[in-house]
Amino acid sequence: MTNNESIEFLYDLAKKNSIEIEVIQISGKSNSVSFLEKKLEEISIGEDFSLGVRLVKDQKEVFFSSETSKKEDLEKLFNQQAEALQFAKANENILLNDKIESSGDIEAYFPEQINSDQKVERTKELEELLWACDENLKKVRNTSFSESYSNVSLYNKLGDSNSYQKSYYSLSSELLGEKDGKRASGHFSFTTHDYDDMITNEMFVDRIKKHSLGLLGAKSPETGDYPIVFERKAFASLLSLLLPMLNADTVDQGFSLFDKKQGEKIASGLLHIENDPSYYKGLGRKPFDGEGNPTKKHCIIQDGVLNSFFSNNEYSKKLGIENTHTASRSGNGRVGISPSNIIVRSGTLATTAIKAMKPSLIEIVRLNGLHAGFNSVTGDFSFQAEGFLYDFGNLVNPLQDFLVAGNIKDILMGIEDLGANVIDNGGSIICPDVLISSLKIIGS
Amino acid sequence: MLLEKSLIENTISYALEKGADFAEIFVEKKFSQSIKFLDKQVDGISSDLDYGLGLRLFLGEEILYATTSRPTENSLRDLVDQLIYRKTNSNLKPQSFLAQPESNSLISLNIKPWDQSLKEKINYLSDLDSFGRSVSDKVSQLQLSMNQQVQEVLIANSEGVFVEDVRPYSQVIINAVATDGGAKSQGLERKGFMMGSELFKNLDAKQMTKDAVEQAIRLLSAKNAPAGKLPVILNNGFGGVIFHEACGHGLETTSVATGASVFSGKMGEKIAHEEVTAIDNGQMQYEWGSLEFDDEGMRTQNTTLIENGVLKNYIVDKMGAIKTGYPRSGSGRRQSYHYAPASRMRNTYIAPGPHELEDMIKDVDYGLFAQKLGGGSVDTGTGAYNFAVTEGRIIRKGQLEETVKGASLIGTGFDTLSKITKVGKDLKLSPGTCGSVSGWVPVTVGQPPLLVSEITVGGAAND
Repeated sequence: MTNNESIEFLYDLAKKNSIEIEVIQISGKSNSVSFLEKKLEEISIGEDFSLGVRLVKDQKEVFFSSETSKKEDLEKLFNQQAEALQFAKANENILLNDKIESSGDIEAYFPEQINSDQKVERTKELEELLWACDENLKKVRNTSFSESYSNVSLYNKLGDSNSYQKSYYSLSSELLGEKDGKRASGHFSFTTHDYDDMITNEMFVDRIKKHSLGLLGAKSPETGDYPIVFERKAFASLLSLLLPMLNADTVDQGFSLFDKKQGEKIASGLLHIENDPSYYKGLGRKPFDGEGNPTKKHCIIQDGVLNSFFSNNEYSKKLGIENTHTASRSGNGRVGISPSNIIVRSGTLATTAIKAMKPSLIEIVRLNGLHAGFNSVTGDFSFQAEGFLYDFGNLVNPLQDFLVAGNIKDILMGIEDLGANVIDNGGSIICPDVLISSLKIIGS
Repeated sequence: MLLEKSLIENTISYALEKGADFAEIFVEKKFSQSIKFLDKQVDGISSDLDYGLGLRLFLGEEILYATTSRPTENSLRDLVDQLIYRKTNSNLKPQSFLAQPESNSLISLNIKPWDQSLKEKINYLSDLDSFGRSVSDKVSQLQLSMNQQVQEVLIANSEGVFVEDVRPYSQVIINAVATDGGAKSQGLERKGFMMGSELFKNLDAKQMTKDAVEQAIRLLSAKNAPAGKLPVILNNGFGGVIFHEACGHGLETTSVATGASVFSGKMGEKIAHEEVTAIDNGQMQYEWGSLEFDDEGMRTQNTTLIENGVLKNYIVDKMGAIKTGYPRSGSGRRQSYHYAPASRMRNTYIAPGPHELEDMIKDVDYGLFAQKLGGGSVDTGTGAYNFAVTEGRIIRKGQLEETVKGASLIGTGFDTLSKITKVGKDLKLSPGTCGSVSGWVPVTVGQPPLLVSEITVGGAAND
């Protein structure tokens, strides 16, 4: 069946069974080129297709998804899940939209701006630049250029639909250096939805060097408490752990330490974070959320105070809070909660000026083991880190072989300043460098 | 059959005609079902069907890879044309397909996931929920998950390989939250095997639930873990994640072939304490990381990686064998047809040694017993690894004392392998999921208890 025939078939099945459905259909293409050891290593191309279906009857819901549009497969899955409805919990807060509203015409689709030969040539040039960038370089690993574009169509309970498109271009590489028998390595990637916004190869080389070869000659810091500057990418990775704890479903289910903290001060008054689905360079741009509500700005932490949790139809109704129109829905059809583009308000001083204010300040440029070293229920963390030691702004030496440990609350309350420069990270969390007054460092 | 044989033959022939040195087709159909129980009721019932094809071609050492979820004669020829857009000189002919190899019966699929009623599964979770809440009134939340998958694959290539395989996976996950006043903590247990629904009859899920609840309760009053370089005893079972991270990834030819791994060029050298023998075995019946055939159609092997401290073998896929010259070990793996295969671990563990745990504890004046371990990661270029301890005990003067909260441990593979001073008797295995270049794949990690003379412990304690 064609994509349209699949949709019609599903709505016919739903009608026959007196079941309401919502469908998300995602189709797209992707390709990538990678170089290794100064040779073309891999070319890949892919086509993706998925149908995600939400079935609702008598205030009960179940889900299924399929990567095939074969009639017999769809019918089997539909019937199986229709039967499963009787075992689902009755949920009076389920609410299906009868229209799909857009927040406006969000232009974020710039597909096929570069042809195959140009991709190969650009990646080859980048790898050549990387090989020549430093005398201590030992290996350039997996330099790649990738591109993907997709169409997201949401069909509501009436079968009406709306859609938007997404495009991504990404450059990535990893350098390994060796000096005096000791090694340092680092990965860097940059992703944008408009190829015109892609950084130059020269800028890429500058950025990756600091996070890899810049760490050669590193020492392990002495264990103790230090003022810490999280470089913006490292702070963005911390925020990626924090954000799910601010979702209404996580809070309601008892898995967040911010339960009952709405309206309370949970961070330094300097911290101001909002979700801006329309931010031009943000990779999470979209005109409507996973339930068909128009996306909108929402300030989640205002001058350190926690505002209304991120929510969707179900949890705004259940908890009686504002619907922030942040329903998420991936290709498998499940409805969750997720913001689009997180913007952290910048400060007034340049990061160099912030570093110059403190003796024995550690700048952390990378945190490793984020998936394992964080307890989302308690907020406790313990992460392997890499960075630099400064004394009143003067570089003392690079740092490796150490950990930073504490509780996420210590970080939020300990924010002492934020850098003035919000340089685009090439992601959906846009933030400046952040100074924390003191955190525990475990090293030598 | 997942795809007509003639369509596979024609595509492979066409790819060789266009100049490929090697052509491979991987077709996958995967049914998944997940049931979640939360707040004493069913929280979600979902089913997924993944279907698609991965076409891999070699041009010398170049890899060309394409995927589609709608394979037809024309679409596959089109993919070949897109991949081989330059003129090449190869004139190879495909070899006739060999007969399907015999099965070693590594799996059990007596009760297919869709043949067990939903009602029965939900009752199973409901019973566990009631039981878990009866263990303690401090239980504030229980999240129970029952996840099942049946992956059917067909792998064929221009060298005559034609293999069909069925891989069932069933898993139970228990996540307990305990609350006491303002304190909150979490306990987690998971078990999974290559079985159908018969697993749920054989598994002692009540004990798992009790263990998760008791862990959450112990951690309610736990202090912060210590900080600094300490002797550490890594418990058996999931403690094996240390070998997986500190050493295993660095032995995969994906890293070794470019000379970037710290273990490149070390074959035959002593890289660990002589008590250390490490295995990567794809042929263990029912284990989470087993495979009858790898994702390149080769029967998996039982591979000794390190024997008495000496490096004996790498973990080798097809392209790794071409680049390094080492023999394949049946280790080509991928998450799905969306990924080209790469060299990956299967069931990886350190073999049992001669020591009792009690004797190892007596050897430590002040240190950490890492009782429960979480995940980790490694930089194969530098060998620097990290992994999480989710629950520990302080060892003082040879005695186990108070429980402490989680902390990450860091080190480098070489350094830690050389500092393993005692290997215990009691080997245990644990299932996990490993993420790398070819996606997330099921693996088993394992070890007996290990005494490491010094690891950096990243606890938040101030003394």
